[in-house]
Amino acid sequence: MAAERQPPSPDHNIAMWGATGSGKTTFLAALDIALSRADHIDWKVIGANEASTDVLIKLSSKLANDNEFPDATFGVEQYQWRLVGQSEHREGRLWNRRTVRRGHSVGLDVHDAEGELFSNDFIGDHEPMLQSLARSRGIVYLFDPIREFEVGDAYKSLDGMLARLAQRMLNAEDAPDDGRLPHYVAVCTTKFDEVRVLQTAQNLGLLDFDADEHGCPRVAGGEDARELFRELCSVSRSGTADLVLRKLTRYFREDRIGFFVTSAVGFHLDPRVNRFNPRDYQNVVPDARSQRGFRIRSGVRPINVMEPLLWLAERLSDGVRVDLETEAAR
Amino acid sequence: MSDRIEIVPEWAVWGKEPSGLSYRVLRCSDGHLNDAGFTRIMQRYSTGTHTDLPQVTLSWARAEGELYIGMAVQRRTDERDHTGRKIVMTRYCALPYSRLPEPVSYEAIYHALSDWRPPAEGAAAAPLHLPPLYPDAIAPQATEHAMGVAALLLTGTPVHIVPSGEVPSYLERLRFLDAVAALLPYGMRTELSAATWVSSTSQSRIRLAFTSHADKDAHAVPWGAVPSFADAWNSPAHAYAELLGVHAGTPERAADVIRRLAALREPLRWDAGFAVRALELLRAQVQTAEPRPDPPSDGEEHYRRAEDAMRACVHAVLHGDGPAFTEAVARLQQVQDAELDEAQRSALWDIAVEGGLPSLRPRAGDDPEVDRLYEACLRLGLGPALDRTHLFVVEQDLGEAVSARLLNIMARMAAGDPATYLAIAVRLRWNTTNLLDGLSSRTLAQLAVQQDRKDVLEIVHRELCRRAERDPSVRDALAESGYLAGPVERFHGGIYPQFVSLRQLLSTAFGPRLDRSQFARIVRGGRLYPPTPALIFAALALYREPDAGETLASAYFRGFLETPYLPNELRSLLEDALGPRPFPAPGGAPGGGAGGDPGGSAGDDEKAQRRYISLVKDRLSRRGERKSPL
Repeated sequence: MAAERQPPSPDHNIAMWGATGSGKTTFLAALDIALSRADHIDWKVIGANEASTDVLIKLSSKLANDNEFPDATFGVEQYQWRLVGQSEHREGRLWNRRTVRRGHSVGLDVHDAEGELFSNDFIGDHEPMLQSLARSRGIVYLFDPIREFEVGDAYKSLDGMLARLAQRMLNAEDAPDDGRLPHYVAVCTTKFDEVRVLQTAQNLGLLDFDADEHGCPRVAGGEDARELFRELCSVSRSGTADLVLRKLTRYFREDRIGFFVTSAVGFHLDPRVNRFNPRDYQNVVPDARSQRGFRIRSGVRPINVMEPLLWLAERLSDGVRVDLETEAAR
Repeated sequence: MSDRIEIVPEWAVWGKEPSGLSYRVLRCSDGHLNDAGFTRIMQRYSTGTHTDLPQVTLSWARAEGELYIGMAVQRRTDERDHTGRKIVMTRYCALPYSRLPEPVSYEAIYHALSDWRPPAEGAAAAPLHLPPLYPDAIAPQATEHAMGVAALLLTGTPVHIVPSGEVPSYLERLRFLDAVAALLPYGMRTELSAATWVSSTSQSRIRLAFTSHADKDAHAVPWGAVPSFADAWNSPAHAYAELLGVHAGTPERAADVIRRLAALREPLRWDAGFAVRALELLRAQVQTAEPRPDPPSDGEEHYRRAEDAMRACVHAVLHGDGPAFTEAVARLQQVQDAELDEAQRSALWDIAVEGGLPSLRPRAGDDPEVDRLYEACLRLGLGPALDRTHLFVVEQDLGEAVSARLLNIMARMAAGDPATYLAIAVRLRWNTTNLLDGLSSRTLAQLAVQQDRKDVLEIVHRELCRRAERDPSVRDALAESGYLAGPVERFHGGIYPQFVSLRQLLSTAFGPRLDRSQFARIVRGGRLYPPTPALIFAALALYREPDAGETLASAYFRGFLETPYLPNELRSLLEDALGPRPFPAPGGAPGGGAGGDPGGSAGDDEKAQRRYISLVKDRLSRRGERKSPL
C-alpha cells in the first residue's frame, strides 16, 4: 500500500530548535556540504527514504549551486536521514593487534519546524512541536546573535516550550530521577561569519585558525564556544538572552550540553590565494540587485555544521565513536 | 447569473507584514472563529514547506455548534520578510455549512475566494457569490481513478496521489479533488480535508492530497491509476468503488450519481462505521428511482458551462498556469457557439474583459491558443457575427489594448457585414479598394460619421468624391450625414482645411455652383448634424447669388429650430414669432398671417390681440416670460 519500502526507523530523533529566521533549515542545508568538504573524516549523510533524499538534494543544491538560502519552513518537517561512515579501531592483543575499519550508520530523524511554533506568542496548538521534542533525544539549539541583538526573541522562543516539555516529560512515570530532561543539546551560536560575531570572538581571544590551506578562523567547541555564547547573550535587544543559558543548564544536564560556534556559509576566501583574508572575509554581502537584498559571494564552506550533529550522534549511539578530535573538540 | 448563492464567510489572512518577523493571523473576521481558532486551523491543515505556489487546501472546522467548510489559498507575494524571504500569504475562508442553501463545488469556492477581497478595517465583509454545484460540469472528471480514490478514502487511511512525470496544474488537481468529493455523500465535506499538494516530509493531517512521495501510513495512488483494493476486497470501501463503477460509468450517469450524492447534505462524521453508512447512503440513492430534477434550460446550461470555463481561463492566466489555460480554452471552444441571450452574453463579456482575456498578449512564438481564446470570448460575449456596434463595444471596453491579432479575428467574424469588415480593415491598414465597391454611398457616409476616425474619414471622403461625378445618390448620402461636416471639423484642424475639404466634396457632388434650394438644404443642416462654420463657408463659396445672406439666415434659422436639443417650448415660441403676426405692426404695416385682418379697425386689432394671447398664453412659462415681447 505504501509508496516504497521503508527502511528501519531511524535510531535517533534530533529536533532543531530556534527562533524564526535563526537558520535552522540553512544549517541542515549546509550539512551535506560540510561532510563533503571534510577531508579528515569519512562520513556522509543520506536520505532514509525518497522524500528525505529529495529534501537533502534540494536543500544542499540551493545553497551550494544557487548560492541561495532555503525557503522558510512551514509547519513541521521531518527528515529521515542517516549518517553513514567508518571509524578505525585497534583490535586484538599483542602480536595480533591491528587496526580495523568499522562501518556505522546512525539514523537521524530531524524535526525542522517553523520558528513561530517555539514562540511564547504562538497561540496555536503546541502539541505537534511538543511531541516532536518529547520523542527526540538530541536537540540542535540555534542561537542567532545578530537576530538577538536586533530583535531579542531567543528567550521567548525557548522558555515557554521548555516549560511545556518539562511538564510533559518530568511528570511522566519514567521521568529521570535528577529532574533534568534527558536530551543532549548542541547549543550552536550561528553566523560566525558575521563581522560583529567574529570581532567579539577576536576581542575575547577565542579565535583559532585552521591549519589547512584556507586558514579560516574558528572557535573551538566546549568552553570557548560557551564563553562566546555567554558574551553574545549579553548584547540582547530584550536583555533576556542571558536567561537562555541559565534555562538550558537548569533543564538539561550540563554534561549533556555541548557548545559550538557555527556558520552555514563560512567565510569568503581571497580568490588570489584561496585563503582567509582578515580584511575581506564576509561571504554574505548586501546586494541591491539580489531579490533578497543580499547574496552569498563565493562558495559555501560551512563551519562547525557537521560537528554538532556528529557530536549528538556519538552521544546518542553507545559504542559509536565519531572521531572529531581534530574539529569540534579541538 | 441570478441563481448565485450569496454567503458571507468567516475569513482570515495569514502571513507576515513586510519586513515582519513571524507568520500569524494578520486580519480576521469577528465571528465564531477568532484569532486563535484561525491559527489552529492554519496549523492543523499546514501542508508543509512549498516551493511551488499557489496551493489550495480544503478543510473543515467546528466552532460554537457551527460546522464550516474551509478553504485556504496560499500565494507568494513580492513582499519580503526581515530576512529577505518572500512572504507567503494565505487567504482562508470558512463557509458556515448550515447557511449554505445548496451544495457548491470546491472549485467554485476557489474562484469566488480568488475574486473576493477582505473588507476594509471596520467594514462588513462582502459575501461570496457561488454558483450551485453543477453535476454535469464535474461528471467528466469522475473517472474510474476518481471513483477508486473516493472509495479508498472510506478506509479511513489518508490517500496520497503521486504524479509521475509532469505534475498537473494546481487547478487540475483541485478539480480532481472536487470530483472525488462529489463522489461521496455531500455531508462528508464537513470533515473532509484535502490539498492540491503536501510536502512529503511534512507531518500533515490531510486526508487526501497530492504529493511527490506518499507517506508510509497513507495509500499511495499513482496519478491516473485505478487504485487496487486487493488488500480490502471485502471492505465497504471496495463495495463502494464497485457500486460507483456500475452506476457512474458514463458522464451522464456520473452526473446523476453526483446529483444524488449532493442531495445528501446531512453532516456525516468520519468516525467508526462511517464507511458503512456512506455505502448504505450510496446504495439507497442508486437503487431509488428518484425522478431527476428538471434539467436547466439549454441556455442556462450553456451559460454555466461558458461561465465556468471563462473563469477558469481568467484564473489560469492570473496564475500563469499553462496546462490549465489550455484546458480552459478547450472548454470555452466547446461552448462558444451556444445560443445565449443578451444578458448572458453581456455577463460573459464582462468576465472576459475584467479578466483581461481579449487583451491577453500571446506567448513567444506562434500562439494559436490565444487566437482560439479571442474568438471564444468574442463569440460568447458578443455573438457569432460582429457588427459596428460590437466593434464600438470592443474599443470602448479595451481601449488601447485592442490588438491587431484580435482585429484579425474580428474581421473574420464580420465577414458578412461589409461595413464592419471595412472598418476593421481600415484599422488593420489593409488595402480597402476592393472592399469599397460593395458598399453604398449612404453606408460609407454613415461609416465616416459613426466611426469617428480620421483614416476612415479620409477613405470615405476620397471614395465619395470619386463616385459623386457619376452617382447622384451621393448627394442624398451626404445630406443624411451632414455632409461629413462633423468628422471633418474634428480631424481637419483649422477652419481653412475644413473649408477646402468640404468645398471639394460639395463641388464634386453638386457641381461648381449650387442652386438656391441646394444651398438652403446644406446650410440648414439636419436634426442630428447642424452645419459647421466650415460647411457654411464652403456652401457660400459655391452659391454667389445676391440673396445668399437672406437665404442663409432664413435656412440656417430654420435648421436651428429643428435641432433636437432646442426646448419644445422655445421652438414653438420662435415659430410663432417667425410666422405672420396676427396684428399689424405699429405704423399700420400689415402683420399678415392666420387670423390677421390687414387694414382692420382698432377694435379688430384688439380682438386679434386677445385671440393671439389666448393662443399663446399656454405656452408661456410661469417664470416671467409673460412679459416677454414675444
